[in-house]
Amino acid sequence: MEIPYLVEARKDTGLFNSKIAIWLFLASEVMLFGGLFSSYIFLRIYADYPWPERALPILPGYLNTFILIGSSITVVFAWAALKLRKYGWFQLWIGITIVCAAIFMVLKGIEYNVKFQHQGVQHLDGTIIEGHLSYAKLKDGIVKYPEQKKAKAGHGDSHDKAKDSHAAPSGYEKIPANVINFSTNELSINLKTYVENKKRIKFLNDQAAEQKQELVSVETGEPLTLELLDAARKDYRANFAHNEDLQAKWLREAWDKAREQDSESPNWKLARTLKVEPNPADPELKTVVNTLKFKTKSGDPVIFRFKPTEVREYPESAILKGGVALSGQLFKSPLIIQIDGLDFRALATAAEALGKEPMEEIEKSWLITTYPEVAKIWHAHLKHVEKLTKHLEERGQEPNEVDLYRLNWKEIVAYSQGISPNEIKETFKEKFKGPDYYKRHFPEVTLKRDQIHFESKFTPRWNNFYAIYFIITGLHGLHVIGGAIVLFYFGFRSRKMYESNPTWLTNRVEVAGLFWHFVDLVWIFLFPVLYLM
Amino acid sequence: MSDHSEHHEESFIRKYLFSVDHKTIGIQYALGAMLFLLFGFYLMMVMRWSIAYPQEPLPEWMTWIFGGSDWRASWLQAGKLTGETYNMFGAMHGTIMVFLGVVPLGFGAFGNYVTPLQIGAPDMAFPRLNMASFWLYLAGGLIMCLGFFEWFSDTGVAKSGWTNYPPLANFADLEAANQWRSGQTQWLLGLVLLITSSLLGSVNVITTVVNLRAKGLTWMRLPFLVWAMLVTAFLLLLAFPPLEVAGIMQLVDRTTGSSLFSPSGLYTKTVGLVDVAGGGSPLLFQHLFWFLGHPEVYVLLLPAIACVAEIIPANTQKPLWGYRSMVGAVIVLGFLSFIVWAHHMYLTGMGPAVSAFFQTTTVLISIPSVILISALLISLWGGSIRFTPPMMWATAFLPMFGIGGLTGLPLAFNFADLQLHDTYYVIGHFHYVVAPGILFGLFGGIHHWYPKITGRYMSKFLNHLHFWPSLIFINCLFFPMLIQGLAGFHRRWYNGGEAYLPTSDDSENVFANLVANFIELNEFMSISAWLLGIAQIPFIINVFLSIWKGKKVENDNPWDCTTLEWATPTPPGHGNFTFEPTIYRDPYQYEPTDEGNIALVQWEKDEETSEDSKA
Amino acid sequence: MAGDSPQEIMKAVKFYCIIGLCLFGCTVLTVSVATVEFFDRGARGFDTFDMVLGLLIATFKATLVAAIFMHLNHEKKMIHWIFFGSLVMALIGFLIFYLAFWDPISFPGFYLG
Repeated sequence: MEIPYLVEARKDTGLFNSKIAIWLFLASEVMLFGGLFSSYIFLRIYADYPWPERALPILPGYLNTFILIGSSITVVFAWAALKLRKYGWFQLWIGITIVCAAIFMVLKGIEYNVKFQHQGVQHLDGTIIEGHLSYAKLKDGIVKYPEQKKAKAGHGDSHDKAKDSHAAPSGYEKIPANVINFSTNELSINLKTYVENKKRIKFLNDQAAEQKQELVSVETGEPLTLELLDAARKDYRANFAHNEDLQAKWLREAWDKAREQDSESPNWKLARTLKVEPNPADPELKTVVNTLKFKTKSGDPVIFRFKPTEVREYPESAILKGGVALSGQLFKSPLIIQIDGLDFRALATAAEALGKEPMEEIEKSWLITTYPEVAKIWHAHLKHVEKLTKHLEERGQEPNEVDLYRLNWKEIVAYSQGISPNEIKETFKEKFKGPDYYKRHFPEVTLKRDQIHFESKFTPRWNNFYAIYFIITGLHGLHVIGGAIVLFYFGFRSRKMYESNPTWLTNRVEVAGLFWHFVDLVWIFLFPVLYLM
Repeated sequence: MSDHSEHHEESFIRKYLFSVDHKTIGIQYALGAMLFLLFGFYLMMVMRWSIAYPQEPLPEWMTWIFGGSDWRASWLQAGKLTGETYNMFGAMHGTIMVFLGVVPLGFGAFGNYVTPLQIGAPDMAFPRLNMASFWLYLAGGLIMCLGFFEWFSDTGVAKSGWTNYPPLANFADLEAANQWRSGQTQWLLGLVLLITSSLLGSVNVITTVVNLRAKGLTWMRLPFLVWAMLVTAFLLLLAFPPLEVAGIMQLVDRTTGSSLFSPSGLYTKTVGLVDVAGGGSPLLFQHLFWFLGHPEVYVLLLPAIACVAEIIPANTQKPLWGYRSMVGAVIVLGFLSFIVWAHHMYLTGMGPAVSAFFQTTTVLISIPSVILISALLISLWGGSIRFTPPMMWATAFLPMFGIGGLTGLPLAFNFADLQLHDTYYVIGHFHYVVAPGILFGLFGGIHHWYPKITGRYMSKFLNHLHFWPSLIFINCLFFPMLIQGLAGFHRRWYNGGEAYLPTSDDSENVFANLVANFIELNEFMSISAWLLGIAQIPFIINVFLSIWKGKKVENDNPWDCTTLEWATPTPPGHGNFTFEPTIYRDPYQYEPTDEGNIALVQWEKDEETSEDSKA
Repeated sequence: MAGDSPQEIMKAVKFYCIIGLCLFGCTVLTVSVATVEFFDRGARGFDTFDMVLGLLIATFKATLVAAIFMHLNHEKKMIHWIFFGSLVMALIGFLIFYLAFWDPISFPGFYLG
């Protein structure tokens, strides 16, 4: 039994099966990416915060566009070679296509990696600071900073001294931004939610070991171990279940009795007369211990670290997700960041909403008032804005919000040196990965934990633009990988098929090529929409 | 597929488990779907206990799913269903019935089994893709249900409704340390697999229908079932991707902490001010969901109408009335179904212009539906009706679906929907369409093609035991829902409305008194539901017993149909046809004679062919 | 296009090369329009004009790829139906984003004014 029209086309439709299939599949992909683009536009319209326009470095996307278009051309060459029955050339062109795909993914990987290392934080007043975490040391619960290298205003020697501004001083590490240090000497663990706790309790145990403190131990003297918790949890569940079953039994008996006595009233009236209050002292009921408390042996506090997203309340007590409660003290958990991007738009919008002057509010903001280095940069920027306004007037335009309130890394470096941003020459590597922290000097600021409104690396969490960017480019990337795998299979594992049924192979390569072109097509729209608009 | 030209003995696994034969895959879909339907029914029976007897502990026989008393204690409170557990059961009931039950039965089983046979193809265009579709469906379905077992999930199953709206769906189960062990995330993962399965299946069906038709089978000679499956496949192909987008976005929200669906300033009871960036839109999810959600209900419907459209001509022995109108109607229905979705969202605060647009398109879409049902109804006129088991189900389908469809009309109007949205009226409406409507049609289909699949009829006696109680109890279950809904009973009340009852005998609370008037219908409905469950037992017995004990068929075309699937041997073998089929006439042609009507089968020529083939 | 003669295939290949170069050129154009200040007509920065221009260029490039590389321009009618039908569907799907404006909670007064 053979499926007809696998190789030769059917007369009335003029098509072979896989061609119809691939176009149908592409129709569904149009809907998929259409839905994604539609969501992108929806989110952008709906955004109640300044949308990160032109936030991505253009060069990687630009190069990728060329690479993908090139690979589209080479895949067509491959198909043509196959039609001419030149198997060697076919394999060569497929190989180049796959290499292009690989380069595409490598560039994409570099782009993603740069973003995952980039830190963003929003202050309570709305100021958005972007940059890289700096180094500090946590000793005996005290944060120690390495000696700051002061940037001298105006001249080149800051360049030389700043060469090492991002190298790690010995003994110092980058304290993750998303870490809270909490000092406690007692914790209680809710056994009901123990299963969710397990990951966190292990975490706590590891931390305790790191601190080289004595292990915390139960009030009765047993040390906190996972085995103890497992056993306590088992007991808790068994006893709780036993009690529940008993109560269910009593409730059933009560209902039966109530129905016997009164068979007329509707159920809901009966329910109101029914009172089943189990006597807590009833001997059949078992004791349910649902919380275990632990204290440190010596009474001295232990410092634990956890992520802010895992915590519900602090500073005097912390309740982790899942019900582990620690009572103690929030310790210094500063966020030390070197600024390579500054955005006052949110602050400006908030000020306008309150009827205040944005520029005045910025002058009064925490960042400008606390850090003279940053203030200097900001004032240089304002002068530049004046010049820009004049220049734009000649073109009949006004500076927009990005011009007024947003500083990118070139501007920050330039203004801190007292030169114009146009004089900063980006190296080729910097066009990909952003500023070179070993070469450039950036001002460093420290935010206290309670000044932080929101922080994140540049991941989907940071804002919806990055979320939708990663989803769209990620899905697109998966399609690139999928297409490359299929092309590899047809290019390098198809010798037998070529020898027995070359037309069938040609059809399949054509169909795979159609998919490849579609992937290119999506990128043609993706690049301007995400990178340029 | 040239390596299949020699017939070789296949191992059990290749032949029955990992088969690429569309007939085996169709049966696999049917068995899988029916198991899921049964499980979804069980979930509903438990929910109905909580609705009827909210303060009473579940009877022990209902709590088997919880296994040991430990696991049970985390779902029930003193033996009673908690609100959270009710929500879990409710969300899974909806998901299972729609995505894992009815669509796989209608499109996966009937679409796969019957379509290639009716167009004269040896198999589907892509048999291995077909197998992949089935296993993806099974994998996706099982992943969604994993949370019922402690081993797989820390937080149970999904609990935010089958519609899974954020922000609730985003934040439910977010406390779990390992997101991949939470029911909500597993649901999303299962959904992505299911959507992939549907996409592959629909590509397969469309390619098959377009390119593998037998000689002489022009578009207007296609049996109506093939048209219906074609439109269904297009609906699945084009409507599912936005839901995949929504599912992926929600997965990213849950695992990376993004706020695609979380608005700024969101505050929840458990967490307080939510620590996300904000700026997202819950409305976006609703749009994406219902963009699929509405075509999805036509995906549910069309296979059932297809079955009924095949059964009626066979059992009236006359042509389907208005074949061309039906084809036109089903195509228009498919197209219109894409532009009505926001009628599920009338209460999201949309302005009058937008709701007027969707109102218009929704009312318009009732026209093709009415054309379809009317054509089927008129097809009965003047026919010599044999009430065979399939015909019983098909004729019951017509008024039941009629009630379901008509009750949908008030919901189409945004002013009426203001009162009825999220009430039991909606539940009554869509259950009428799906349960006594679509499922009856599909039961008819099972009875109709069973003789072809197995070579035996299903038992008529067991069918009566299945049919009559089902018909009665299903109406007893769903009709009062319409009444309760009009009175204002809300959906997803886990205690059946008990919380809203008046607290004193002379209460002046209007709503409370209304609830008190109709709350006793709950017990009546629940008992009907449990009896309905018992009524399905004869069917289960029938399906399996008839394989060995059923009356054997007399020939390859026991119902005297005219369509091509009856030209195959019984059951059809590898490659389906023993000859190269050619089509000579339209489907459903019967010739009246003194001894009754003769089926003019599509694949046989006769002297009047030259006129028929031009018809 | 199956069964073409070698000469026709070579001609087609040359044509693909030309179209490819055209696509490269359009890419350069896209980026220049976005980055070079001279092209920034209308309001400063990103505004409707920029969006329309960018999408127009992108649509032109996509048309070239679809018509020539995916040989839609001499494909069978059925494929045209499928592809353009899906585009129409996608555009309908784009109605979704437009509906964002009609949410009076976020955009009060939009449909009144």
